[in-house]
Amino acid sequence: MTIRDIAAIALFAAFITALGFVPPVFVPFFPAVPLSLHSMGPILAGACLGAKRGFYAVALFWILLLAGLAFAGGSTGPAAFMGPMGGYIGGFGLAALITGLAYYYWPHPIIAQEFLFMAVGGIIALYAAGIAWLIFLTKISLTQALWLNAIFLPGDSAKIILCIFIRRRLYRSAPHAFRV
Amino acid sequence: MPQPEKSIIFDKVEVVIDGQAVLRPLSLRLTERRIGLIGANGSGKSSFIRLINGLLPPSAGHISVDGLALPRDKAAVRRKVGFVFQNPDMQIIQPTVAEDIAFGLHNLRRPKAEIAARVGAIMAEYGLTPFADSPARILSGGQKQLLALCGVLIMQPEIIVLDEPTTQLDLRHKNRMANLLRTLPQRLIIVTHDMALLAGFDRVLVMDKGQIIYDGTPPQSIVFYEELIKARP
Amino acid sequence: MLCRPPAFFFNLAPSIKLAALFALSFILFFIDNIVILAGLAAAPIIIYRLAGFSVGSLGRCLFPAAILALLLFLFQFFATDFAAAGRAALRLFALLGFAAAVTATTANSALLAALERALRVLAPFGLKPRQTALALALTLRFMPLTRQIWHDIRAAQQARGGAQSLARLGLLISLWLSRLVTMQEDIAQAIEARGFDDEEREDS
Repeated sequence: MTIRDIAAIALFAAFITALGFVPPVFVPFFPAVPLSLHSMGPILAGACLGAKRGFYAVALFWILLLAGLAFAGGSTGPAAFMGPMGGYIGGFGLAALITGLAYYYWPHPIIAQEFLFMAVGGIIALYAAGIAWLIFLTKISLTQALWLNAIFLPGDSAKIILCIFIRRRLYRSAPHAFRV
Repeated sequence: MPQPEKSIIFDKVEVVIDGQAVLRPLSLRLTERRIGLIGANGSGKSSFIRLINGLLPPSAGHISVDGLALPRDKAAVRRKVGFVFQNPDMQIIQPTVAEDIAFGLHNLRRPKAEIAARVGAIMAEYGLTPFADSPARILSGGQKQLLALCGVLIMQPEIIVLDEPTTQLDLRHKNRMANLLRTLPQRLIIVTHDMALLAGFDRVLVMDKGQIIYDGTPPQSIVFYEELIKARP
Repeated sequence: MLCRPPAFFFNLAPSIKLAALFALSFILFFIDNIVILAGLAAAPIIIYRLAGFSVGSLGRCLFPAAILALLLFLFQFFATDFAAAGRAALRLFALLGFAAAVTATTANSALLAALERALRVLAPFGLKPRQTALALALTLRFMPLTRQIWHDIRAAQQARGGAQSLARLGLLISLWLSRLVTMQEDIAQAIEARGFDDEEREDS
């Protein structure tokens, strides 16, 4: 791990942490459900830094969250991990890992492939972790949990399209910053 | 001819990045106590000074600092050469003022008691004690640059390289920094656009397009540079 | 009446509090007795009062989770029965209440230091303590600046006017990230110049 790696990881960790303070936005086509931008952080961390470094950035965020210096889902401290959003927060690590691995094995993807990478990491894996903890914590059924998550799908899909756009723009302007 | 012990020697050094010649081959010996470096943006000044402490490796040639060879003796060179960057915000890298000043000493593995004492002393000397446990963001630009300088001075370097140390400061803090730099016992190499900073310097180099195109006293070099800029469209 | 001095909760080591919290969260899921669960859910309120905080401050911490808990409770209530719904809700409140009590009675810096020490156990697995400490310090140092950059970029966009849209949002975030990656090189040079060990090795 070089000094440049450490600086990159820390800045992405700061980015993920800062996203936790950005209020949810309302998507025009689905105004009933606010869209939290937070999960864009780990997706972009994996997509730009790779699986290992992206995961480290998420881990730094977890440490700050546990220490009460960051927010996620409106909570901070151990309560953030133990509450209903805890699984999603844990899923941030999966999102970074899976997205990073996908870009590592397919370094020059077309947009459809990128959508797939980020959907698997940022939606499927993230939701799976979130749902698993939710079910364990509250004993609701899988069907109920899936329905609860379904309302966020349109917004999260829009987020992924944004992430693809952001990553491509960043790659054009600062290719040296990528460490996949 | 015997070479002075205290000299920075560039021997046919050049820097090529992505096929572009950032610094053309140059050979130079720097022995003076106060050396200035001026030139237009993109002339290669920042790359040149980053060669001195090994932040930028040369594409060809050799550099030595007071007998220490780069890159072989990089760690020793970095103990000898302190570096102050242009943007104060980018060089304050710890959460609080005291922690940032102490950073270099931690890297040298000094004992905690010694670090605490030296940090306390330098903060007292430069008026930063009230901010010891504060984050850098509450400091003004001038105070941040002062903090950056303290972080370097605490390492007790013999040479300090400064990359446009007053560019981002207001007039009051520019003057304060200039006065402070005048009192420092270390050898200084300063890149600057602020000609007033070079008053009393021993030598000023003018750079343009990756080369040193003039090397003289401050008045001579400044006049040369001003003529050069006037002649440009 | 207070039966312990308030300082007790504050002086307890963060690692003990975190360990106790972890153990409790584990045990909670094996308890089905609704009376015991109710007692455990009420306990954080007592801790808060003993530590000198108001119950309102506990309520404020738990509010975001409470809304979701209510939704889930309703799910359970209509799906199964009152008792199961009650147990789920009480477990949640007990868990979150104790977690909030840990956060309220522990300084952030103390928690952070405890977590950093805990990470040292991973040193044999390749996680270098000095690098972790530097990464944490850098994140803490640059988090406020990162937020400030976002505010500045948003303010500049708002000053230009125009409709809000997802495309605009994407542009803003990419500008934000651009600014951050530009900082990487400068920060890395500043660290290097002050003699931090620079181990240029291939990643394992």
